[in-house]
Amino acid sequence: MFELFRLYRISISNLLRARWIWAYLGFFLLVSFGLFRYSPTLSGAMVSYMNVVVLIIPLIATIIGSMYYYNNYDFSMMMLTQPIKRISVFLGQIWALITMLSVSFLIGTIGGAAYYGFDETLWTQLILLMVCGVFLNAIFTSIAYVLAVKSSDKVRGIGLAMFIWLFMAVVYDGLLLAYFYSFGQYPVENHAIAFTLLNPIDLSRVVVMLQMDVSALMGYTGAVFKSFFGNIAGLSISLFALIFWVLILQFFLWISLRKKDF
Amino acid sequence: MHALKSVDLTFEKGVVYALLGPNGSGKTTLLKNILGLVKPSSGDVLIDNKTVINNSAARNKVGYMPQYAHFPGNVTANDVFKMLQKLRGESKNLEDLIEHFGIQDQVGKKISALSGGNMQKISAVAAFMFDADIYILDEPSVGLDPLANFKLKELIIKYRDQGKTVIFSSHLMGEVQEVANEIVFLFQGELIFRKEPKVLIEEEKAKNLEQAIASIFQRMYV
Repeated sequence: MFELFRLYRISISNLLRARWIWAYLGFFLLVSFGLFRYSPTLSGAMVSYMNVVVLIIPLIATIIGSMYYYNNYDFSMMMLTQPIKRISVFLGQIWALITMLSVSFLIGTIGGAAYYGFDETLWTQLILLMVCGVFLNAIFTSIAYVLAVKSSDKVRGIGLAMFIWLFMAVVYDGLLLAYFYSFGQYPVENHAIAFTLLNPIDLSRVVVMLQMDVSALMGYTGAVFKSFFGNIAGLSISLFALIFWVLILQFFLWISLRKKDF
Repeated sequence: MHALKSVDLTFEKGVVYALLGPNGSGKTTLLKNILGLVKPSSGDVLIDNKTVINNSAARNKVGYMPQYAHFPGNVTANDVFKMLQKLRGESKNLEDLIEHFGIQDQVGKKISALSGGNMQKISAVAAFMFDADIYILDEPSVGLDPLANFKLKELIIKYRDQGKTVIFSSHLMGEVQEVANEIVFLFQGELIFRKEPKVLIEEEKAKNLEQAIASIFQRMYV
């Protein structure tokens, strides 16, 4: 544990020197300020910002996660020849990366939205969105790392990770739509809940959306969703689903590292 | 595909071993096995009767100089040494080693600004800076200038005399003949023989080790 913390600290100080992390912070600061300052309605700004968050965070986490693994390969190799556990070397890196990405996102978001001042609805929704954003960071950085550990070929590793992002962000919804369209005559609302729980991007989107008035526009499914995700029990289940994603990916990372030959 | 096939070897204390064999014979894989970087599909690797597989503590007894130095490019060699000491404890001979290789003016520079030879010297210092039982050097003389190479050989002999085990791979037979007590010969992943250089030269009726190994290579490829 101590060893892991040491490597985490080394990676954090390494990341603080990287210029892109400041650009990432600036991006969120600019977007959140722009939206909350210039959007005519608060809910409009919120929906736009949510869309940016649930698409951009997984995308950036995927790209940066893969690149960080491959760019730090020399450093990792040096560490692996020292009396340190493999899992500590990579968990230290991955959690340092997740921390830095999340902190930049949180500072950027809070900094930009602070312009709007205190508003209970805004901040309730925003806090939920920030929690989801941190989870998305953790999940997609971990996915990128697991795939990178599994493939020594850089192009393959990054390609696979990007495919997972594309699948979860875009293709998944299309498949769901086809499914509901085909089985529209049957009561598939409960399936919709199950499928949503399986995809962290959709899950984040639904959880945040249901805190807004727009859920009323979602029809009967929206009502079913509201009755499930809209209360404390549903929110807790969603949170557990996100935690489960993070944990299972750390487990996969551990398994892949145990088997890997460097 | 196996890089190594049923290799059964014991390395003794106070002996310098040279790992020889044509390209792709499994030398680097064997060295990585000892480090626990590559895991054998069957069998085990033991250091003082303790397995190295999934046992990071075993690497406390090993100093390693890779074929190509792996250091992060955006830090200085001094940073690397500091980082390693944080992980493995204070080095007693770091300053001596830096002086031994004459790289006092290089350790403050960023790794990415160093020449290949200087990087190898840093790598050698990193391998020898901690008190280990086994020193593993994978083609250490590649890229080193004659003086640095001479210094490295001095170091190998000094550590052997202190009762350490040194295992190195090389393609330079002059160097092997000078420092190795025993030759471990691999071919296509199999252990072919282990012999003293002197014995090998006599058996092959050769003038020197280079000639002896060359005639063995020729026989193998016929």
